[in-house]
Amino acid sequence: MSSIRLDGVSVQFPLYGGSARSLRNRIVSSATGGRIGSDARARTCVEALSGIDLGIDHGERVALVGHNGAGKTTLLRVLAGIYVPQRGRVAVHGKIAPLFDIGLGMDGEASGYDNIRLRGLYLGLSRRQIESRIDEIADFTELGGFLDMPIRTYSAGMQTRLSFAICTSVDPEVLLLDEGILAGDAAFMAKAQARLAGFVARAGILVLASHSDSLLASLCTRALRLEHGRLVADGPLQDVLAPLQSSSSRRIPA
Amino acid sequence: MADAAGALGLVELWLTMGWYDVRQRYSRSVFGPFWVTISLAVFVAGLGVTYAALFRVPVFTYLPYVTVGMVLWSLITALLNEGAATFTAATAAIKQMPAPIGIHVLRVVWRNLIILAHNAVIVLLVLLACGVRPGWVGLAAMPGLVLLLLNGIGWSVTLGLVGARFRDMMPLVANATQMLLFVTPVLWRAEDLGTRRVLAELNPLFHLIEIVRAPLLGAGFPMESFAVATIVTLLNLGLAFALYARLRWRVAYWL
Repeated sequence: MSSIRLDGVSVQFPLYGGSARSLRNRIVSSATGGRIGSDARARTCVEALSGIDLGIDHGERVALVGHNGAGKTTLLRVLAGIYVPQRGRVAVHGKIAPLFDIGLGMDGEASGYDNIRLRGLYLGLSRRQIESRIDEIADFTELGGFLDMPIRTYSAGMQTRLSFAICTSVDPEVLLLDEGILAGDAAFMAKAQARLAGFVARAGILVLASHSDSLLASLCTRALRLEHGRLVADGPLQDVLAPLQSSSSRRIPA
Repeated sequence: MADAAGALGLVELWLTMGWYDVRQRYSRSVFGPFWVTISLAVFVAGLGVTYAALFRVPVFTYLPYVTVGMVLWSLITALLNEGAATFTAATAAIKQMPAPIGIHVLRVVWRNLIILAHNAVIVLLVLLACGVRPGWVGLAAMPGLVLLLLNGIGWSVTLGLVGARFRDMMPLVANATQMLLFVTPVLWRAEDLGTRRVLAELNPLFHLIEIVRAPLLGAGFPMESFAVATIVTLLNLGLAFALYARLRWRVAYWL
């Protein structure tokens, strides 16, 4: 049984300017002390998430919505265990498969096949398990001969196909998807949605950050709205999406 | 502790990553990783002949000494320099996939062991050509090499963590290693210092090199250097472990 629990989770990013980041300033400031020192020490922090309480249970399909910079990606990274929050507790049960910036791939110089192996190992498969699934993954991507080329030569859509195929082939229990990820063409999107629907039917947890209401509507039942790092709405998808739509429709002069 | 063990447990992952690293660095080049070997061989050959004359020692004794020394030195500098970039170089992977960041440390050390294996060819050829036959004593170089690699792990953790937070670390280390080559007995011998031999004895890198070099050259097992090297290794790993325990979760924020 997979589940996610967050208690009072807060995440702050220290912003190191060109000055604060260098060792020289640390040394210079500690040597001179006084005014300059305190200037160099004063760190600017961005509160990316503050006081998030959240529970997601087995079989829930959750949409993360909010404007750019609201904290969606940060929240996904917290769920994945990449960012350890400064305050609060995170408990995630179940095998996690995160799918974030596809553009980066795992290794731009490595071939598609090598990237399948690397990502598979990261996701906890053994070499043997990967070799036994590699043909199926390759088929799903429909990339054919391109899989022997370095992935830096891939288009964004091709990288999407590859990353998506790998992440969904490891039988994850918790699937975390970021917005940019579903940037494939129409044919692939249909295939991807079918695969996601199959995943959802097996009652895993899906958390999907996106700005596409139609995509969210087809996959998710519950939605969380983030604003400036705070959770401002949590409920059935239509209820959470509605205020934004009505407010934006209000802005259109009649 | 659990995190460090977790990193070790992902053997297949870091072995594969290190292997791909080496392969990629030399992809599309004809000689591949042997380019390091070739350039090192050329360097050692030129140096061996010239410096043997400079120091007034026979080429056949100086050449094996400088060859083993330089091969080990190139391992040490690579461990220090790449160690400082351990986490910054792995930014994409760290921000995308949850995994103990220690895998990147092991990957750095492993890929440099692969490179060392390529360079070992020169050592073998030079020892044969110069008639140096260490015999069974040569095997005593193995525990020394293990200590050296353990230090590589320590450097990679410590310098990697500091390097992720303070980006001055990489140029700083690059600078330091350049200088260290001249103050460490690699091109010259500790004996050459005469009464001021203590200058070499105080240098931990000297002992780390000596514990591998002396057995290979058939000079026996350097007990004293081995003792010093063991203490250095323990201190190094202790510091690395303390830093790793405290700072590892901050790394994702610094990248």
